[in-house]
Amino acid sequence: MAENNLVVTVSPHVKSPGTTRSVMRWVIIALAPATLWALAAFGTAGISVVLISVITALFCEVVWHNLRTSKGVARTWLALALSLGVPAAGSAVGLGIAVAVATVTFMAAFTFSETALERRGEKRHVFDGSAAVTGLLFALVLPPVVPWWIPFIGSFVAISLGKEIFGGLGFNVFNPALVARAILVLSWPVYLTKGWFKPLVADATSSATPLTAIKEGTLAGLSRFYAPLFLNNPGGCIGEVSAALLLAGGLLLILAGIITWEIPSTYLGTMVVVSLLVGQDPVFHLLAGGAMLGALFMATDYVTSPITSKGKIVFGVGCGLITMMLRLYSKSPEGVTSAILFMNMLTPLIDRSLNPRPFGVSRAAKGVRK
Amino acid sequence: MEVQAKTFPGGVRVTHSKDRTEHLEIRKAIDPRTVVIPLHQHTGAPCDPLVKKGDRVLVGQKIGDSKSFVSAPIHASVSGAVTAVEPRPHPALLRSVMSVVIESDGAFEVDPSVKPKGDLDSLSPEEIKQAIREAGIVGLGGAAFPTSVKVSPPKEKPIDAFLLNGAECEPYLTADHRLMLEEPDLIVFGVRALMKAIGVEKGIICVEDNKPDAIDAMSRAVADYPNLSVAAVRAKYPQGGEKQLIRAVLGREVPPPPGLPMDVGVVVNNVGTAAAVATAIRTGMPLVERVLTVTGSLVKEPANLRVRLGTSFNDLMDQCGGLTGEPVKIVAGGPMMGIAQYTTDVPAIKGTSGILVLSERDTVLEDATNCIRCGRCVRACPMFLQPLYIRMYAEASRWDLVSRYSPANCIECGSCAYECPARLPLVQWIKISKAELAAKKGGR
Repeated sequence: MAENNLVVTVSPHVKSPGTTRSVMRWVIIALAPATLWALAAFGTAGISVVLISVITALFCEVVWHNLRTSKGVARTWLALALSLGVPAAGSAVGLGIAVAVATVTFMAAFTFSETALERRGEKRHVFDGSAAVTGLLFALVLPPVVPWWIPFIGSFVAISLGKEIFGGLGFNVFNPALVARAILVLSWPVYLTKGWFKPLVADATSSATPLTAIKEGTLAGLSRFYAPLFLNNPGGCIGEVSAALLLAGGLLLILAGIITWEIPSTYLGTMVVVSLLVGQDPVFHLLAGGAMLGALFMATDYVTSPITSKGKIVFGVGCGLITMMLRLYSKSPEGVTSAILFMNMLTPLIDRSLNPRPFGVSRAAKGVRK
Repeated sequence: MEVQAKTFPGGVRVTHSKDRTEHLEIRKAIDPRTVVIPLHQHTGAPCDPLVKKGDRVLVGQKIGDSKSFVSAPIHASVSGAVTAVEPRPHPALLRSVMSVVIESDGAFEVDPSVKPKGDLDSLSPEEIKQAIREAGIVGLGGAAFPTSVKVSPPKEKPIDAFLLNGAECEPYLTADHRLMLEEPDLIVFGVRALMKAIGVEKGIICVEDNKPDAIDAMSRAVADYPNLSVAAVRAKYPQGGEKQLIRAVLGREVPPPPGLPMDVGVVVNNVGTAAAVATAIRTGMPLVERVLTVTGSLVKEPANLRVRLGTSFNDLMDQCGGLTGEPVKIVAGGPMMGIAQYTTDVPAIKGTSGILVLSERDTVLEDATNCIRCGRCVRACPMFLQPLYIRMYAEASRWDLVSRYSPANCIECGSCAYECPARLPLVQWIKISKAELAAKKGGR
């Protein structure tokens, strides 16, 4: 038998061009218009929040990947020693610079070990884009005016506690960006609820968001906020400047086949129904706060939402209901984060309960078999 | 005749890659000097050899047979001397299988048993079934299920529809397409013979709508037969899976295994099979040759070849101008369900619908990454399974949980793995699950 280099695998032998990397690229592209528009509105404050968040996320991802390899633990200590030693020598110049130098050194050390690994073919896909998406999404749920360590700690929490501690990409139960937001809101509520750039509601007491205002009952004639909320609302989180651009990004993801229609439409649809039932303005509820960002980009996170079409519908309706209940009856003005985190928790249950009908088994017959 | 093409739920849009061969006429392959004919070329019991080393055999002479109901005899495709009866590498079973090696004398002397079976109208269903069995005909779409078994449904399962499968949904393959264009009348004759054997009135010839010329050719060929019609089915993979074809054209769903098309009153046969049946009745020549596509970006001159069974892959690739680069994979069949070969020293057999030579660019050898639960495998699955969970629990050896997701229902079409952005070998995990669960069931 002649020598050859033929590869033998199970079929199929061709695959679609879509990869995890390309999925993440699509999400970033879809978020780009809303993000850039926000950065234009907030200037350097917003830019530094987004950059710190994304870079920290990538950095944490690399650390975790290194820790999982056999030599990674030693490598981590080495990088840590370097990054503490070098700035310690020059710490006379001041704490801020020391921290900056430490970060840069640490990252340089890891990037080096990372490329070495890539070359040896040991590990790929560290930069599959998922960490960048998490970092970006987390930045988008922050107010623009926050101390630099808020996005740093938050992004660290998102990747470490939100994702990697469960085993990495695909294993986490809760949406990482929202886990980080929830923890930060509990830890430093002042920074997370006050750093609004330019309050839209100038006549309200302090720098309140429109949702706070409606809760406090200080607002009338909500329809005058439609246009600014839709196009240019600098009075919220970074990602909430323009509902229109978020909607465009979400539609792009649906058209590109990255996400499906079920979760966003049932989420937002349920919100409309509930606000009509209680006699509030449905358009305002959709446009204000984190509804768009949540329904299109957070609730649709693959890992933490149900698999099947039926499951996604249940999930979307649940998110919409809880969001509205919290907005209407809790002390907090907004409920998107809690609603999605709660439904994340139910995802395994939903997936186990709503299995597709097997091919060739009629609905009636299925009932008998169970 | 512009009607909405019928289709089925699930499935994937694949890159067809058929343009290099779909316009090429079927050409006769150069006659081989040596053929290696495995005695097991079908689903079911292997055949026992009827010849031994040193015997002289003739074209169409039976050289292997079995007494089992689910089996199909094997015939010589050349005349000459048997030089060996020994195990040889097999393109579908991926192990060595007892084979008859025949050195051709170049005369192609036909065995005296090869005689026309007579007029179709004068043949009884039993005689047709007998002719199909004796001719060793199996499903030529790739599964190689004995046709004689397919056309013999038990009495309690009445058949009311016959489907001819001309979907050819596998990328790259064009043998069925060319056969429909070049020999539509032969195919229709075969369809009528099969339908008479089964005793079914209504016959539908199903062709994917990316082959409008074949739809036209077949429509003309059935014009004289009011009980036959042509249905356009949407070009979507796996439209040619028989369960998907039945669902698309008749709206019926075949029950899960051991359910068969006959359970919903349908028999499905492939275009090539019908042509083989027609040949066996008209000339008496058993299944000793078939049409297959030799293609792939590394094949210099791709072709649709009429090949004597037992011709080696090496000979066939050489006839197509050889290869222009180092192949990474050589596949017997199409890229979605075909079988990757560990050697090219294997013969073309009854079920070989193509020889596909893939370069590194054509195939995907990336490592698998983590499942991101995107759900594409679930949306792609034409059997409504959830491949991600089968893989997840199989990887953890939780067979009790695996069985909940019914891997046995999987038709192994590969749609899930084709779509998977994490490049997970989902079909492989499902095959492992099937084997594990079957072993557990058998052991109890």
